[in-house]
Amino acid sequence: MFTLQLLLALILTCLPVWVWLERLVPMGTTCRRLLIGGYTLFLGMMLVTLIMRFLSVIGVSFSVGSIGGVGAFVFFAGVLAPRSWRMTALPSKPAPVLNRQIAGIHRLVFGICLAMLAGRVLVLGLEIGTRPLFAWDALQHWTKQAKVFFDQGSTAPYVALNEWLAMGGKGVYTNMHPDYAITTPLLQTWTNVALGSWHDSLMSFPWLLIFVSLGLVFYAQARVAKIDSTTAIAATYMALSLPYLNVQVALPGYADLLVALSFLAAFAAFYNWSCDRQAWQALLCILCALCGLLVKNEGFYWFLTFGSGWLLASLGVKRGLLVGGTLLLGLLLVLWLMPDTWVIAGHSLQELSLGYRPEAWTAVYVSFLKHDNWHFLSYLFLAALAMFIWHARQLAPMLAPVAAIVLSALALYLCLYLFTRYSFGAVRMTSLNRVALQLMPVVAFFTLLVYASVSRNRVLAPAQQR
Amino acid sequence: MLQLGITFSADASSTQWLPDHFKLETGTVVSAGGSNALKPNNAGVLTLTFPVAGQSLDNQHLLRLSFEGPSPQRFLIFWQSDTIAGKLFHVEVAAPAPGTSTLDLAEFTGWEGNAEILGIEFRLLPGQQLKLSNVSLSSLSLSDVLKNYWYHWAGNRYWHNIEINRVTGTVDADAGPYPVPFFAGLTALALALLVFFRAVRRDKGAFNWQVAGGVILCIWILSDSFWQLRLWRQAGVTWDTFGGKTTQEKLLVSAHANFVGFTQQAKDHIQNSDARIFIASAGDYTGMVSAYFMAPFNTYWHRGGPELPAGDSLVSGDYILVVAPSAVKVDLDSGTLRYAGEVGLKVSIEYDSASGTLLKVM
Repeated sequence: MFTLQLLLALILTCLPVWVWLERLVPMGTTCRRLLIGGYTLFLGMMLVTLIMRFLSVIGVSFSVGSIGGVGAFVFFAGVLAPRSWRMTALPSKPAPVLNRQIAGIHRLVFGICLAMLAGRVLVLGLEIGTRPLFAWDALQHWTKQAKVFFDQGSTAPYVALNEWLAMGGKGVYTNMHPDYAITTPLLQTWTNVALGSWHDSLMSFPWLLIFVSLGLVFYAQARVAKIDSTTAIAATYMALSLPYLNVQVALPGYADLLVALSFLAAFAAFYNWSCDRQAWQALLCILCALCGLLVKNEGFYWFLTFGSGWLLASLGVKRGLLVGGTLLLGLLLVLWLMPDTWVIAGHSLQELSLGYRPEAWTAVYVSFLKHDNWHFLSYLFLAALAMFIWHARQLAPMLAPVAAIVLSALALYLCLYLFTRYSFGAVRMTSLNRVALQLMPVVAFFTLLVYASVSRNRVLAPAQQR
Repeated sequence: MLQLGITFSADASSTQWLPDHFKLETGTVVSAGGSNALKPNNAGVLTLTFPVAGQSLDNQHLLRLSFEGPSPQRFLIFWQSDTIAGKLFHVEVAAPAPGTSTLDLAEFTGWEGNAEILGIEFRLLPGQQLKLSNVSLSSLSLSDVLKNYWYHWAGNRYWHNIEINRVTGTVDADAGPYPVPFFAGLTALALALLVFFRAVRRDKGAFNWQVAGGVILCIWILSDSFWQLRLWRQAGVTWDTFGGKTTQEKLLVSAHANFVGFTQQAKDHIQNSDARIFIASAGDYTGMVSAYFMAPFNTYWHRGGPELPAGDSLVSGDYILVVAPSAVKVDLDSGTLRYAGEVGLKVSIEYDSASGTLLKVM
């Protein structure tokens, strides 16, 4: 029974978005079905939470009928939309010819990586489907909010503790982070609505979908970037086997994995847009980056990093760096002059308490280069960065925009832990890895792009080599 | 010496002592039927020392002993080295089981320098005897090192709260040796060898990036295999604990079982679904979990702050769930709350259990 209910929830989540992505992604796009599948899962989950917010505003209770009804409206709008609302198909390209021996090795590697991925989905799915809620922050606020939303059949306003006391708790709720976005609790609420009752383990099914979506987006966008299937699947397996990423799926309830997906989905689309200037990739990039703002405050800062990439992609590397550098100086001036109490994306300068905190360096070093959070991806990234700088002249035209995004994001990350009061999150190793998780799939994708660019990713049959 | 978080000496020297070498400091030898068993003194103490010839304790830190007989009540090791003249170090460790036991003394304070005195002490019950056949001191062999790595990287470790913050890759979250630097080093070495072999080849073609990528993938799979092993072991335990159970049954066998029961009872005693519930607990974990299981009631819980807000914030009809440990007490005679020096808020006890108490503000 639960399986059917979850399947229905999945269909209602995916169909409204799928029908529009079918129009958006041109025919002839490499790995089109997988690409649409990955983005459908992500954007479908986001759309469901938007529908639930809308229903709360108009005073309609959550139910499969009400949520499914609005979703069906979006779906039929996509079905009935004019035929001209469809991206022009791309010209078909002949598949590269591989010699038999190389093809055999590629098939073997592909099969091994696919089997490892399937095994990972299975074991994580088992954990999600079986274990009741475990993770601290999920118990503390995310899932606790979901309980209230599920009980109320709508979202409910959350305020700070003292405000709640002043209002006598009438019509408002409180927790330690009332300003946090409600997308994550709404995902659990939706799953429970679909199941018909509160289910302490199956309600985290969306985390498995996020994991699968990460894999589909990573692989498909790598293929669109003209990376061969074997390299793409190997890199996808490496990205999805990151231990800390697996933990966030197996012990679900946190928002960071969804932020990671939104950032990767936007980043990969941005890279392919910067290469081919296809409008549909730009649209995917903007949509996914904006979705990050709905998931967690950090989404705002990752959204801003796309500005640096866009500058370099639009103006060229030299002019882009000049303009970007000027804007950065301007931003620093604004930060210097603006009042301490202004709140931007949930933080004010006063609250951040800016100042150099070198004690966080040890935690950063241990987390990335000693502990097994990311296997040895950090080392591979550093090597890729070195390769990028070594071959800057050849690689910069293609990779400078995405390098700017990655480096801006990492710079913001380091600023958070080295220059603000949040350094305690590094020293005590509490939030350090959770925020890093939001960036690591993008770091993995960038590392893949550098490897593919440096290796030129050519696999030619001997006849074609003459 | 190869330093990878543990000491592995390229010079695998060792010292072995047989019964003929033992010097009995306390206790006696029981020679019956050719067997040289050892008997403690009347206080149950059996002490032996071994002839040492200035062995380097930095090198030889693995103590192995083989004995038959009962497991001792207590087991101590003592030694003196040339590092601190005249200072005799003692350390008590977990009593070894009969058979062969191995103990790594490298981490103990004072185990350094050249040995001057070395001995062991068994504390036995009156009348007990044991037969000690072999004592040796050695450095770690390659198989010891590999076993140590295997233990740290593939040992059983199951979900713990700390995992949501970091994954170290070791069985003890706070100790190495950590696998990541090892596999990163192995990858660098493998790639360096690739570059070297290309350099010595006569026909220098383009560097084969596919082979390099294949090498990186193979080492990644090797590194990931430990994590996979752990995930599958964990999944097995998860299934054994929770598989096939309903939501309620799962909660009752989970780590939060205590909270599930008493919060459900507390909720059953609250008639007004709009009531405010104040969670009063001095413990972060207890307060947090209680607040979660009291949801969807409208709860107030202040992490890291006072257990309760100022007295005039609480009004008649509010509930207080007191969860141990807590400084909030009830004066049973006067039916008033006692907390942070404030006395006077009249409350009634709605539900009381070993885990917590539900109070209603009158």
